[in-house]
Amino acid sequence: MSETTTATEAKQTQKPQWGMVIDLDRCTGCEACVVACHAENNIRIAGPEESARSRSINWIRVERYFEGEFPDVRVRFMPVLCQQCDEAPCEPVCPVYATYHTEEGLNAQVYNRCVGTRYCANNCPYTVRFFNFFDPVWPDPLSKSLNPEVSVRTTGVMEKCTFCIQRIRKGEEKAKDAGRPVSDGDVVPACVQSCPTKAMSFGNMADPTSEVARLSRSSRGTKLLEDLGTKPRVTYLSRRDDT
Amino acid sequence: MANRVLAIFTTAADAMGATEELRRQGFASGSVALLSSEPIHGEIEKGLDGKRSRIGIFAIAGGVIGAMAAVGLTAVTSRSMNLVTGGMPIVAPWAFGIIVFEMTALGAIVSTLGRMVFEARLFRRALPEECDSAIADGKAVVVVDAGDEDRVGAAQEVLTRRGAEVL
Amino acid sequence: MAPDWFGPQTQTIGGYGKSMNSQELTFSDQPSDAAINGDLLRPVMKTGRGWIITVVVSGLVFLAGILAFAYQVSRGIGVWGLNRPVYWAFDITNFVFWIGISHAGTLISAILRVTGAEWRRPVTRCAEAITVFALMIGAMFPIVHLGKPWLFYWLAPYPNERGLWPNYRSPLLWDFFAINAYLLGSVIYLYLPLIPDLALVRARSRGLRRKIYGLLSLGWQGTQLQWARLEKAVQIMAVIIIPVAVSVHTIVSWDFAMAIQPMWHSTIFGPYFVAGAIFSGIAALILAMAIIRKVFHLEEYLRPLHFNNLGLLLLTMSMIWFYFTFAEYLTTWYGNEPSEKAIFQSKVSGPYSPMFWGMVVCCFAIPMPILAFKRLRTIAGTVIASICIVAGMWMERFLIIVPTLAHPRLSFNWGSYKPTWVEVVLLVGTFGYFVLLYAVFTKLFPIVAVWEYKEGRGPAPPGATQHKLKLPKTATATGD
Repeated sequence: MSETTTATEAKQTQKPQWGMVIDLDRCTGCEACVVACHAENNIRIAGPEESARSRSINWIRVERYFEGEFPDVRVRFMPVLCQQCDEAPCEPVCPVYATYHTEEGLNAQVYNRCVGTRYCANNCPYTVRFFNFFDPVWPDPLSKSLNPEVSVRTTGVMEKCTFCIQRIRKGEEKAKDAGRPVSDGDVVPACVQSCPTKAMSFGNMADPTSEVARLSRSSRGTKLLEDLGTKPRVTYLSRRDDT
Repeated sequence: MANRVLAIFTTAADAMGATEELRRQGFASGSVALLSSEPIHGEIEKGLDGKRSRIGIFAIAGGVIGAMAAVGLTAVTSRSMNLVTGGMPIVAPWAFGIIVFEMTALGAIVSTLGRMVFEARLFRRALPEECDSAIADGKAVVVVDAGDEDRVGAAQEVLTRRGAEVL
Repeated sequence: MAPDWFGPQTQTIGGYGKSMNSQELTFSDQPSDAAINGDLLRPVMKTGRGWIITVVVSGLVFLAGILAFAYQVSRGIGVWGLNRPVYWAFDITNFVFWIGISHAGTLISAILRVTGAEWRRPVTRCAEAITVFALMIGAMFPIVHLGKPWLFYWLAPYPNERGLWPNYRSPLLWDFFAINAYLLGSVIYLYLPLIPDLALVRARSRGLRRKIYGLLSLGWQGTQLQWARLEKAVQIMAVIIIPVAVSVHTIVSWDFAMAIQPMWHSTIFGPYFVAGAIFSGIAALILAMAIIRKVFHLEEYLRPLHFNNLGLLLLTMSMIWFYFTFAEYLTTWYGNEPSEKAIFQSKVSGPYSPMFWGMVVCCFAIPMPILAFKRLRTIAGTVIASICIVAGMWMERFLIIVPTLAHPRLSFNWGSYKPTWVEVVLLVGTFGYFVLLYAVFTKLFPIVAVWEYKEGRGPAPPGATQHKLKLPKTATATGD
């Protein structure tokens, strides 16, 4: 067999390592990603009362900070989602293995195993985990727009961004059916898909030719709270006027 | 056993004198018992013939068994689950060590209780009601398990001479 | 005659005051043993109206707590005040609080037994009972706080077909094992010295009651072999239970210390929490003793000396608590690390400052002078100090948990917390439950260990350090 075939075989058998890059220079803070995530992942509606009590669920959110005094005010904003840390602090503290690390580098959340101790959320330095305080409610007609490929979480269960694992599964199956390894464009999470400025990219970090692998090597690349040693899989490219 | 003699003494000192004499008369230490509502340390030393308790050894053994069980439970089952959490090793000795410590203590506790119940010969036949009340009132009761009929007479004689109310 | 602090103040005390030679042990003074039996068994034998009222009231309070819990289970954790990011508040505060209270019994009973301190005798069972009940209540909260409490048993390693298994790396699993080991150990440690007293109640009972106590007392006869084995087993248990108790609250503290959140990830938490637990536990013990002394007329048995000694221990713990707290906060302030500083400021000068300074007042500023001065270290004084301390230590646990959670590293997500009526009723319900359990206990079992008390009348048994502390002339034996 020729060497290229062996390399292809190797890539085929090696599991993809998912990662994401967010270019803060392109991000406008429009929050289309937030809305898309809601739609794709059956995120429940909190309503004005529950939101006022700080219980709304947003698997991805745009954080906004104001710096300085007028007239030198600067606004910084960045989308924050589950960083799918390689050494996630949320994983070892779950007493029932409801969150663990998959072989593809995802921080999996298993809803039907979760008993709701909420320890994982307390140990997440990025505050990206959300708890279902009540059973979900979708006022009509939103109840008709649920995504059948994503489970609906009941009360008492933790949830968070999954990198749209349902789309990952689909993309992997498609690639397998086509007899080739997963490549760029097979898997597009809802947030990445909806970003109007193409600020977000997603793909296989283990594939050196993929877009995320290339972009994450940029000199503008940083990780959030990197000094904590969580080894996040999300790379942020800082704004060009920050350097 | 039919050849059991029970005698109630008003004071523990009298009872202790009686048990001394009974032992001198040849009754085995194990067959003469002084029953009281609180431990009488003079009698404990003499009456038990220096028979050492094995509760401590059993406690240690129980602890060791508990420790081994914990190591098995944690290490073996974590291996079979084989789920990675937070980059920690599948078998995390520091973390599992906590469980091992607790189960060591648990093993020691359970075996202490078990061995004590065994050595103290609890769950034996009950005393007659008068003895029970007498002990509760602070009196001392002497129980002699005489081997045969004649010894019964000898025991009763000693006890009566010492001022007991023989039953 | 000089006040003797052990036993009723009658002339006819068996053994005491006469020669210390064990050969002259006399138990011939019938009133003495009978008097003791009468006093200490009266709560078991007779039921007063006050007891019935106590049981009914505390039962109703407990029922309210149960109903609040049922409401929470039916609707969801949302009926509490929790939110994002404050995912733990009253629930875990109560958990740590009650487990902390449970550390009194072990210290008093086990350490004082191991060191041969004679004054512990009337106090031990009171303390051991507090441990068992406070533990039972504390152990409820890991179940109560779950999003799905009906699945609490998933934390247990039981063979199943669903691929479920607990994760031993989680501090919550350490909690599960530690608390269960401690609970079993405390129950056994309470039960062992109770056996002879169960036999005593058996001797004084008739009919069905006699049978039940006969079973419970395992056919105890009172032979010297049994006494020797019992004392040996209790000694061994005391030695085992001390490290278990220390480990339990250390492990509970590690629920926080193992997390990487600012002001949680501190190495001091293990010793800090153990000291705090002993602190609040002794305070609870003093309160329980004061109430029992009053309602059961045990003034001759639970004397000012006991409150004095416990008060001295409480003073020591207050100073230790202050030391740890000061060290922790000084380190934070001096280190000036931004995410820690935010939490520090919220406690010292921000929204949590009334509670924080209230805690310092309750745990140190008020108790320390009361307990430091002999003149103030009376029964009433120690009771006042203890009430403050119990309240202050609850606040301390709250202040460890909530401000940290309310100020995560990414400050966009800062939040706040306010309890709802459900959480308050649950907390109050636990106090009702505790009083109920305790009241029932005093009805079923003598609250002062009768045989241990009687054993303490005579010369000290081998191994005891003689602590026949004579009260100084200035203090009166009567106390209040």
